[in-house]
Amino acid sequence: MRHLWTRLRRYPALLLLITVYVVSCLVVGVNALRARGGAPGSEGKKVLRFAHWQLEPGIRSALDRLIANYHELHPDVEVRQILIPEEGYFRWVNTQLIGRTAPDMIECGLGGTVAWALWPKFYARYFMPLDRYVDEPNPYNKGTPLEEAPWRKTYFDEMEGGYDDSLQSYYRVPLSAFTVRLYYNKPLIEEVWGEQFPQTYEAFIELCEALEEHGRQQGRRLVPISGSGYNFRQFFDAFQTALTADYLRQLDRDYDGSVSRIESGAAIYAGTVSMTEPAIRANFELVRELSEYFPQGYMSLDRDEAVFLFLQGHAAMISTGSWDFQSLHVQSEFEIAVADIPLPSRDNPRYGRYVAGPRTEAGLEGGFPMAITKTSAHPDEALDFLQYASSLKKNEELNRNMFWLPVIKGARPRDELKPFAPRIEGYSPAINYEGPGVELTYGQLTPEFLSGKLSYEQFVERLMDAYRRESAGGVYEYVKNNQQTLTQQMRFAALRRADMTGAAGAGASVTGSSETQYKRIMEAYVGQVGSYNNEIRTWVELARSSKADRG
Amino acid sequence: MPRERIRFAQVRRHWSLYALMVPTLVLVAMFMYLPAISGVYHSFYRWDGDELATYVGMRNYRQAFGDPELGWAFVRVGILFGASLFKMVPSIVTAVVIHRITRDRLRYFYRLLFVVPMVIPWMVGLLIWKFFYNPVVGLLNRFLSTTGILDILAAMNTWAVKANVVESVIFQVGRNPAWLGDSDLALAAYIFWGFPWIGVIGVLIYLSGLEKIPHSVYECADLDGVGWFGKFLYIELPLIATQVRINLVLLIIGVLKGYGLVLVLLGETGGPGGAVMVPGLYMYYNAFVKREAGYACAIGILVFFVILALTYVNNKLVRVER
Repeated sequence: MRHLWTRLRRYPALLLLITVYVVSCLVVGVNALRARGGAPGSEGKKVLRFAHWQLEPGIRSALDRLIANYHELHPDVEVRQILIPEEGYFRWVNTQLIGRTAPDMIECGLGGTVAWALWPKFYARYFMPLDRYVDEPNPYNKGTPLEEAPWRKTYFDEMEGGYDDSLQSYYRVPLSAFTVRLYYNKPLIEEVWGEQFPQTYEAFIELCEALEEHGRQQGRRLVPISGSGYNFRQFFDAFQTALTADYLRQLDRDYDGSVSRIESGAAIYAGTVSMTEPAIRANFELVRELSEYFPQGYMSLDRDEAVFLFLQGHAAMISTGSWDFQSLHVQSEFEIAVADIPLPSRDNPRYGRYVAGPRTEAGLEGGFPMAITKTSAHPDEALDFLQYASSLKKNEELNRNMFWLPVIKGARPRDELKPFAPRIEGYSPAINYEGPGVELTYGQLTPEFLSGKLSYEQFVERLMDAYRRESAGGVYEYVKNNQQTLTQQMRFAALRRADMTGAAGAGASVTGSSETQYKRIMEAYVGQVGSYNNEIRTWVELARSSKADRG
Repeated sequence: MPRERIRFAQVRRHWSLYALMVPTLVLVAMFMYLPAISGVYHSFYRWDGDELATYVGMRNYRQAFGDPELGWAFVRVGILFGASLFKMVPSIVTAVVIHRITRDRLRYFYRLLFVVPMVIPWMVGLLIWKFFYNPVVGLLNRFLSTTGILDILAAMNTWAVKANVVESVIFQVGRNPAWLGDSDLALAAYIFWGFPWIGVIGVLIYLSGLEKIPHSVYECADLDGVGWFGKFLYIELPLIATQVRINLVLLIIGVLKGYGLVLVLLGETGGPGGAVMVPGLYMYYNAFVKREAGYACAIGILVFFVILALTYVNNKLVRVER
């Protein structure tokens, strides 16, 4: 030993390296052990940590108030918020889950295209299924009309926002709901136009003209509508549904009540639906007409830039969701009002005959979804906290403080949010111009068309070129990817079955329920495979008929 | 100087020094070489970037050679590379100017001035430039409007369209140009980004080379009556050729594989009409948006070979005088 020490003393750098390595291992080990036992709270309290990306003004303080009320009821529990910026949220969640240091509750569902495909895998691997709780009443609804109702039945959407279709399980507890509307600078609009906000597209265009004229008279550049690629999408979606809703009957080949990208893309590729049909052309021309009232080159602006233009008074209106309600009100120096995006009237000579009606929001699902991690040291307390947050009284209170829409039946939103109430009547989207494989070309050509660089004929010609070049391969990739995802989901389902059976031990009833659930997952899997097979068949049929037509 | 061979006995004697290198080697192998090897492997597979892969042989490479979008991306990156060569000049000139300052303290002060901006996060600089280009409130459009340059540009554009020199109307009186939202302007705006293109790292690398030039060389030049430009052309430029070569290699790699700036400024489609779609961004798009990671790996391998070829050409062309 002494000999070794004498030798090591000759190598101070090595000694230092070993010391640092040992200390690092100790620190990491101790932290890991602590995380497993739950973060230490003050005075020996159980600590619940929940992570979310809602950094908008007012959200944190509203959640703090909810937490303070919960602490009064449960003095032995301490709930802490972890706020992570949206940009790095998914990466952060990913590393925390893999490293088994994830907080007890995590807001789910963010992170772009890749993340959307990964979340179901995350649910299966890292989150606690809530199926056994959702059919029991929420204890915090005692003394309210929802006292006897199962937890999921207390939701306006019957907790659809918490259900994962591919895994056939409830994983998330939604706390709020969101819809999209048009925000406007009320004093400015009243000065230029009057108190009554335009109800039709025609009047809306007149308002935009009046705003531009007002800007010119004042010697400043006033943009009628603040826009970016993100904000414009909401206008596009509203007009697309309104003008092309009738295509639903024609394009829904598998009769599931909606039009998939495959169905839509196949129809465009095969010429069953032509991009030059009057209703589709009217759709694009309508959005191009409206583009005149957006900032130049708005498609390359981002969401923050659009909000900045609106708040600085450089733009009079902006289209965004109810999630921005409070932050816009807090940051603006003028009064803000909210209206629906106006649609062309039936009398409009160019667009009127194609207008069906507004886009329906009947299928709205709960948002701001929280899920409990399997690594949580206090899953029962985490569940209890989420039940508290989704009880009738507390959900109403929380959402009133956040200026968001509540998700529990009977919970009343703030009066200011009434314009955001979901529109039940209306039409479903019926066509998607971005068929498999042509998304990039479509994304590149649309700004060119909207800015007037391309005529509609040029736009269609180049888009159809891309359809002919890319679609067959695109469909193959799309279907193949979805089938592979399904196969993986099946693997997770099997693992979960084993997991539940093992966890149940002697609990035969739980084992029984796991079998039932496994069967449900299998049925859903078969259904989804069938659906994909139908889509492939649709594609092949249409492609063949198209080839035959071309001779 | 002949190279000294390291004998195994020496390695055994100094094993602890080699042991100190092990953590670095392991980390470099794990995080740099392993992903690269995985990239080569997956370029022969139809892979969605996750778990499942199917062997497809050379299909991804055949697809890449027949992909017009990738072809245009390489053309665009060629233009950007040409522009970047030009953008090296201000850094060289700045380094020479600083080097020629006779007072040591003043020279040190200027050097410091160049290092200080390095503490500003890259993202902040990027957002400032994005704001600079904003069509409504951006400083560039305000400057062009206030000085009347925009009217001149509009008049020239009208003349050029009438004379059939150009087809599209880019500048119009009373309409602010959308620098990043117009397919005719996006590439130019991207090249102009970072004006006056004085790269801090570049200046410091050139300065390190310039400071190795002995004073006696300048004294001889003075005796021979060589002017300031002659000193630059015959003394400084040849003697910092090593540094120019290093910067060129960094530039080749940076331009060919870079896409972060385009992604943040113009989004994943490369801007309107894909005006700034570069190979790196196309690779990103295929890997993370289309989930065709196998094809993205094949593009990455092609980009690697182009970088290798250009670096070889650079090393052959830029001769270093020792």
